[in-house]
Amino acid sequence: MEVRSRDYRERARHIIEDTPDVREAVTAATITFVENRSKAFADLDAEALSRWAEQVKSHALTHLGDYLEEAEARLVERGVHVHWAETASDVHQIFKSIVRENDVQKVVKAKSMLSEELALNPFLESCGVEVFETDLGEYIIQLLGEPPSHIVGPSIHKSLEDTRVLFHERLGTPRDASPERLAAAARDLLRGQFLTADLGVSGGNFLVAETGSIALIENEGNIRLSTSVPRIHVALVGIEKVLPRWTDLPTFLQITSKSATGQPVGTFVSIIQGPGGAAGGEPDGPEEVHVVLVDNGRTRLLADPEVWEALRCVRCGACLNICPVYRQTGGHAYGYVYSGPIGAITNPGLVGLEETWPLPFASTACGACKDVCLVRIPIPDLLHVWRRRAVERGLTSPEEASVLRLWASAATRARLFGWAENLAALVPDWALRRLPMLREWTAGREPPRAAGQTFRERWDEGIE
Amino acid sequence: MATHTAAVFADSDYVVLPSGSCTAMLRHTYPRLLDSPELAERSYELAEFIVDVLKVIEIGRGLEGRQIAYHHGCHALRELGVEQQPVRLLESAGARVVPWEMDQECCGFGGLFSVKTPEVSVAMADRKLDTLPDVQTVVSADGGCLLQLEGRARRRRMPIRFRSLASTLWEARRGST
Repeated sequence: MEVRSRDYRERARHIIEDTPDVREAVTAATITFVENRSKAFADLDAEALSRWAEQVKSHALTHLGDYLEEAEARLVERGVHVHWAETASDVHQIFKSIVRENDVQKVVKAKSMLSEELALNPFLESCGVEVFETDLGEYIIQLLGEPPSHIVGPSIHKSLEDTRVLFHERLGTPRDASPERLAAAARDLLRGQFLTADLGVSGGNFLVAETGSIALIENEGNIRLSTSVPRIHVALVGIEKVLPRWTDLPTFLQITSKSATGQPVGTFVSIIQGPGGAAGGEPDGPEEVHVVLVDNGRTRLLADPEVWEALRCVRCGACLNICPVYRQTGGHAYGYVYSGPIGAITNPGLVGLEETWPLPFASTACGACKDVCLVRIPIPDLLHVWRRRAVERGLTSPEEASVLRLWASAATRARLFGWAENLAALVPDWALRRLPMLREWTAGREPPRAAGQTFRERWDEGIE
Repeated sequence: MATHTAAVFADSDYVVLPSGSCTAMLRHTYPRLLDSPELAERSYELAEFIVDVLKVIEIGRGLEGRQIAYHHGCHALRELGVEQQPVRLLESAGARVVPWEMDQECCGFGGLFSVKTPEVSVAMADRKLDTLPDVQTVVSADGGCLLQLEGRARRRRMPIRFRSLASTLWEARRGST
């Protein structure tokens, strides 16, 4: 996916000012997610579960090579074609051969953020393949030609009304159709695609090394169909998705579901282990199964001792839901597939700080994301690391650095500071509005009013 | 600046800050900058100091009948764990601290964030102000948050007073309104 994060401020401004419904839709949906999440963990020792999850993921990441090879061996034993892809273009080449060798005309896709990261749909379309997103939210944004706005709820920025208008125009449903009617219309259309597609593409929530199993959590049944009905299935799995043991999986499935949507566990959990029929050991399912283990910047992130912990992420989206900055705009402002706090600490590692440096600054450092993170990623600390690097590499504005230097030199000299305080109180409002930074402040807010007397003057006079 | 601050307060038994954010800086970042936890160990946010160190809850009844909404600054709340102390002090002085569904959500100040991303920052302040209960006064232990919320409320011509916790506790003690 193309990175458009450098103009974060402009994109955020546009969303807030020109499409106020987005802010309302995102705020309402994320507040519901947060409420459901806290209910789901109410009777559990959430902290103990988080500590356990953190430890399992950190262990897997620090022994990643071994576990990936173990997973590969198990998968190959069952007749799965395992591919290793370092870059998006490697993934494209793998798909190109699969499409050519099998004369693939139509693909049904389960929701996969990794496939968005790899810009898979445009690539498949350029090969002349018809692609259908089968998750309802993904289907909506595919019709609109938009990227996902949220890791779990890709069309979170759209209201019911938006979908009514879209489906009325594109699928011919009544203008005032109920949500059930809208879902039924999508289902009718997609059922036919499942039955006629040559290839199903999915992501993978977890890859269990011990058994070579890919686990997928969902609610709509579209993943089950995408991964079992077409003759060929390709699963895209980021290398950070590994869990060591089969017994790690049940708890991860439950806590990820609870953290994402507040459900005890997703409505459907699919475990993919290999092809069915004569080719493999499974009683049914696709004849041919491919697993693509994707790096695309992850190894570089893992090798970075200051920020590697970001890779523990299980993509539950809880940090997006709780984030007051994300709530104002949804994901599109961030200009890349991963948005919100996790995007701000991951994207610079995956695609480079030069392209994404405004994202670590798109945060007030309120810390809500840190408290809610299922795998205890110290998100504010990692934001700070990227901010420091952005300043060190000269990516931020020099104006800002001079203002801060000026502040530090005044704030460490008591008399100068007092003098500056008195001077600042004399600057009239109209002049304030023209100063750098204060210009930005006063566009939407009044400047502070000076008290008649500074605190230090009152202190010297004796406050009592 | 950390070295300067440590030198200024070298002889103080306690450093009490009328700001959650500044306290969090001294407590969590200064030990790293100064290579010593010494200053951090005697630094407290004001309400935390009064309630947890001085063990005082009632400081006066000067807030009798006042309806107050309390904004929890993020750093006081999440980095210092200061949550009940300011509310208890205000209530014991006679104020009613009115429930506010967004009282623990960030106001959107975030230091330079407020001028680097002003549109998002203002939208965050609006979310706070739009959910505000019917009160005359909003109190917080953080100057930055008050600057932000008051600046936006004045632009929107909302007739609400924004007061720091320190000034409010001072009123409570003096009995004035």
